[in-house]
Amino acid sequence: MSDPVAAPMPSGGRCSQDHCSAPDVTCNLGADDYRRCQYWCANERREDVGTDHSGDEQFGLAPGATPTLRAAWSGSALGLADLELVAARGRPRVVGIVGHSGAGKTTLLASTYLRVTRTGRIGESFFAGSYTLGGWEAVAHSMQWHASVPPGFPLHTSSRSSRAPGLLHLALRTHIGEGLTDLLATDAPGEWFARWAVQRNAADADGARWVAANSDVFVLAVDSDALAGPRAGSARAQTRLLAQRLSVESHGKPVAIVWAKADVAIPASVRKSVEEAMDQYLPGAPQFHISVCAPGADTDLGFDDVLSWALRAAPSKSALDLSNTITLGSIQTTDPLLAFRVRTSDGARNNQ
Amino acid sequence: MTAKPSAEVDRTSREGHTPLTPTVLVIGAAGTGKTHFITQLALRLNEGRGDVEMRDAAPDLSMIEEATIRLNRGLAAAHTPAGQYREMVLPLRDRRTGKTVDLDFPDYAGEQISHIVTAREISSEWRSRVQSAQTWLLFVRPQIMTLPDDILSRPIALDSATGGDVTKSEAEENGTATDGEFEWSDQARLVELLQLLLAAVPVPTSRAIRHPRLTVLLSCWDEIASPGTGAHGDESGKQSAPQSVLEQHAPLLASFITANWSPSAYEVFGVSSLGRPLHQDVADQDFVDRGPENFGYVVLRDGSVSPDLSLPIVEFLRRSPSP
Repeated sequence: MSDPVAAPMPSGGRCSQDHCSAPDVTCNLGADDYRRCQYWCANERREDVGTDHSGDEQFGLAPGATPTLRAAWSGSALGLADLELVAARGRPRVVGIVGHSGAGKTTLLASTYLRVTRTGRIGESFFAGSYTLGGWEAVAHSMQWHASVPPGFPLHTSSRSSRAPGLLHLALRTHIGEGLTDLLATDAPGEWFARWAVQRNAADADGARWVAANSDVFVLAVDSDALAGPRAGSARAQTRLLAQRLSVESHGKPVAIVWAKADVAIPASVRKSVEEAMDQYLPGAPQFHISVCAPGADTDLGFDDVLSWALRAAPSKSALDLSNTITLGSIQTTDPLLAFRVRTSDGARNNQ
Repeated sequence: MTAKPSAEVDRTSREGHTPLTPTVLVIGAAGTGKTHFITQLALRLNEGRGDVEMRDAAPDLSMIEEATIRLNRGLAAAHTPAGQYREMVLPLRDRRTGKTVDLDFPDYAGEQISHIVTAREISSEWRSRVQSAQTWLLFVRPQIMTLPDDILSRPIALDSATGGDVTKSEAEENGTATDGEFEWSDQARLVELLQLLLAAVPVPTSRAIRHPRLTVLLSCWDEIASPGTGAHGDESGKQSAPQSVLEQHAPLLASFITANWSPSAYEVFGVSSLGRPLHQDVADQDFVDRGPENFGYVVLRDGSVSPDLSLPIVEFLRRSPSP
């Protein structure tokens, strides 16, 4: 589908406010037309501006007429500044996916999304939306067949910000009428965890520390292929080191171990060494074996299981009970904001 | 025929005010069968068929005049040209209940809908439409809702020579795209469209949505129909339930809808406006002889079939309490 031809509005321009990402999303100060905001600098370039803002022309409006409404989210993976979209409606559950480069972290994410697009569900919960459909589509795209070209694996994850990972979002609902559960999965480059495993306070391990501090559950991806290859010795050592680091930094939060590329046979001695490390550092952690290449096996189940586990294992927050009716003076309401106020007012009813 | 420009359409704000005449807003991408549906519906209204009638002087039907001529010649309607910006509102009345409803058909060829998703912005016109509509009539064409094969559904064959996996450099050679250079899947685009429209109103999703209502029309049903359903749509043979067809062809979308909309505010129908495929250049003589108004059908919730194309529009009138 091609867009109708229209005279393009001048591209480029940026907001002088650091925290505002206009024009990719709405003006942070709420201006209907970002071009009229006092902080808008029309002549400066943003390095990642690329959208053609000719929407006004295409909708038959004269330039400068009633402005179009920009979406508040871009569809790409969420950054820290975008988190308020999700956090505003309740505490999201963060799944920290940890592992060395090439271990299969992004593949796990991509496979989860592909599964959701085919079933509409994760475990017992139904897909109810996402602020990062673009981000999901991007990681999954490389795992799809296009024409007769076989799929590859997701490209190496890089991140512009080293302070926090990209976050992929899923809104889930189990029963209609219940509140939404927001799931955020981290998509971080393996290099972060390599540094962090060796030295917790390494200068360039900010992002890994963010994952450790903010995740509600962890998934440790173990690269079966690396453990079977020519560098098995160093892979084993790195895996043990990472498991040890995670055991400390997870502070008792649930951890699952995912043996990725499980179709590859790991030499017995190497496997034993890694398993011992897991038993020592992460005792009782559920273990999953997943692979995209196992012929004949139902490969879907492995990926579905991991996220289902994460959903169940993440401690449920004190979600607002939307079924409660609150009485305020003469008003009966189930409005969640009013309910929140009543709950936080030290038990005393607020009759305003 | 008197024109009814969009400015006269009642666009009362949602803020606590219930419009006396609810509006059903047609939403659908290009190629989802909207033009054929509205043309066939208008033809039936002209003939006085079905459960709805035109209640005022007929509006400006020039938008579908060309499509009407082509259907009468046994040809498919030409792809609606982009760039024109007219709106057609059919003022209808349900014969059975006497209730009124406006069918709002913006003339947009579908490109404007895809523009909302790709450019991530909504014009004030569209925002006003989605705010004032009581029902969104969403056209989805199951046949083109592709679920591309992926590495899970169609695994790469294990090849000992290559080691079995595709490395990053091979992936780049194969052209598997980097971020931003690819099209989203059909399902993701539809879900994002609904999310953007809901945010434009705005409609909170913390609880089940009751307003606006959502009616999904699974269009071009003849492409996926069970055998035995003829063009007349009056066969006794039942079709699959539209809901299960939606779940089969677009599971992500189906889940998104049922997870967010209250069951009482959501309905899904199948529709084949023509009953059979028509072509751009080769006329279907049978279609010409019997006349377009004798072709086309809707599939109801239980899979039964009816020739009355107005049923998806008036169904909610019969369920909602009287004003």
